[in-house]
Amino acid sequence: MTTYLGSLQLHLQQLLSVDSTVLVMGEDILDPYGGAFKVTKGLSTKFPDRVITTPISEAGFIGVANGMALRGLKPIVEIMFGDFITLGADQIINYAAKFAAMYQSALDYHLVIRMPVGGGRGYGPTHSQCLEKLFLGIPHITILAPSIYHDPGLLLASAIQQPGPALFLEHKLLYSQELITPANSAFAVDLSDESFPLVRLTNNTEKTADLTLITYGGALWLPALLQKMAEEEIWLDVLIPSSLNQKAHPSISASASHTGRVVIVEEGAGPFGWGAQIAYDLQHAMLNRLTAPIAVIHAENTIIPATQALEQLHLPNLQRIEQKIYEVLS
Amino acid sequence: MSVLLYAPMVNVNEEQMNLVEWHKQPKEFVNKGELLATFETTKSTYDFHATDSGFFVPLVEAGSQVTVGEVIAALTDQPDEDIQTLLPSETEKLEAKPHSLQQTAGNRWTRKAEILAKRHNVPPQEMESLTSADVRITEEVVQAYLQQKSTTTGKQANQGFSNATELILILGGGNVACLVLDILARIPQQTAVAILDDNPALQNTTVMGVPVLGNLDRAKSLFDQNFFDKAALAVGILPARRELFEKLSNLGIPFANIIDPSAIIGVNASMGIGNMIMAFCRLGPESQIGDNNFLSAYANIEHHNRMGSHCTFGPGVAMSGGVTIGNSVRFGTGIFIEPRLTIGNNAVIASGVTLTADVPENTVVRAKANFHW
Repeated sequence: MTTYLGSLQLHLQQLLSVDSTVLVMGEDILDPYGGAFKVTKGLSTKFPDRVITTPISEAGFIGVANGMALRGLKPIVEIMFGDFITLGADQIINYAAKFAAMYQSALDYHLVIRMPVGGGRGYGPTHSQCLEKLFLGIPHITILAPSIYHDPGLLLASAIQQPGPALFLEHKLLYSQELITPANSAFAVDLSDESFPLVRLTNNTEKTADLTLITYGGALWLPALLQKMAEEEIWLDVLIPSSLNQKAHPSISASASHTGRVVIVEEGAGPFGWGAQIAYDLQHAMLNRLTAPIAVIHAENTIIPATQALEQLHLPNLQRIEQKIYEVLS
Repeated sequence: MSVLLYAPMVNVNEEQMNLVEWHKQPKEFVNKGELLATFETTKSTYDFHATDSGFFVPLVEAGSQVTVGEVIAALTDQPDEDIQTLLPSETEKLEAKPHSLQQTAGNRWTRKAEILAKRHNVPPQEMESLTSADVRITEEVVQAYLQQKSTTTGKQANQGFSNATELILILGGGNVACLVLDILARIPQQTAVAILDDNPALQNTTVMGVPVLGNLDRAKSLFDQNFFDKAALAVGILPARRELFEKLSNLGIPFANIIDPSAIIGVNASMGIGNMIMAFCRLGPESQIGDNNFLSAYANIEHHNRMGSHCTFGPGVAMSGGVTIGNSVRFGTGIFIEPRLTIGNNAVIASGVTLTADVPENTVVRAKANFHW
């Protein structure tokens, strides 16, 4: 059994072992603490020279990482909570994302910035957000959000080996969860043959899907939703991309063309998000041949409550998704 | 009143922590607010004070790992009280799990059956009275009901629940693609998913909203990935049209007939595959055409005509009955053809011709008026 956390820990160890240019930096990541979510636990003991604890200054240490990357190192930076990425935004948007295109050179530039994101643990408004939409649409940044159906460690390894900066979003509810693979899944799982794969999940492989559901990242409600929909004879084609800063994957358009009905779920707040862009792409790809308007479910357009019961209501939850599916099918 | 004490959440990132020390002895009386235990997380130590008064009953040992929310001790009213009744029973633990979903079992209908019935205006009371009370009303039950209704009324209802359409890959992204996409935009049964074209300038663009996804040689791999169901050749000229059709057919790629909704297909008319039939065309009764023909607008293939494959038409070609046409025949624009004539393979009929005699194979028929004398 491998957990999400275990996969990240394992692949970080392997990356540091096989590639001496890889190094890891961030706040409070040294042993015995091993990072706020323990992703770097054990690393500083094994690789004391290449696991660097930093002051509380995201702009400062992402800047340092930019410099290292420019000189050929491969830094993997941890932001303690994804919410704090705002402090490093200038280094990412105005520097990391621009180097290759501005200097017109084939830079061998590698940088991954990892961060735990998302709510569900009662951490309140400034420790629970999904802020990726601040970076979506900025050219030359790869934004990755492995789900429980992806192997996050493998994606991390691919991310640091590909040129250009990558933001790597780890939903904090996933760390303790066992990875779901075609071998142990209750529902049919299929991964596309890409470095950053698209996962396809369905609750009936024999029947034609009634509805296309598109989501990414956390989405721990999926197994219960698939189970419940199966009881109601509603067959879902669920598509979970791991790479976000790009147009809708062709398989998403193909599925939507088949079903004509689409629900998109994202955890970020309110409008102007990833879901809106995917809906736009689909609307184009399908020549308006949708049977129902595309529905996008996201968090309420306000701050995330710290009280867990209220937080549950605030974030996309099973009841809301289930209800929306019935609406779109009716 | 006797109470249970639970491990508090000290650090929001940690589910577990060390209970380092109990500061009281078992059975000792503790006053509310007195220091009772010390916890240690990876970040800090934490002093835990009694939330009530009572005789102390430790339930975990000092030095052990405890989980947030776990019962760690009790404070009882009497020194030797039995605390078993205080502890949550197994059934209570089960019931404490949140019911996150709407109840399914009690519902007489599945949601799909309900939605399907609504779509077809089936009165729910009627469905329920027709079905015995212990049978759940499923999609199958509603479908069977609709089936019966449609035979009794002689109506052909669209009973399908899914909106499955045939996914079409368009080969060629030029002007002819617009003709094909224009037809597909009006046919719900077929959907264009993508275009392939060898022209580098078209890559990563869209044609009428449909993305160009690469060169023509990508068709095979896209087909193997189930990306599309059938292909359509948006190429209007021979011999390219024929060559592509044959090449891709040999790779196992099936071709769709694309037929404008305004076209009229007569009784017992038949066609092969890969035919493009544009607006206002007509296949007369008992006529037969082969594969991969391209009929521009206003082509009239009259009754009992026989046509081979790979023929292309300009707009406005009108045939009389009983005409026989070979393969790869090219027709220009505005042509009239008398009854029962035969046109051989690879013939070319120029625009404006009125044919009154048979045309042998490989012949070019020019309209006199087009010549400059």
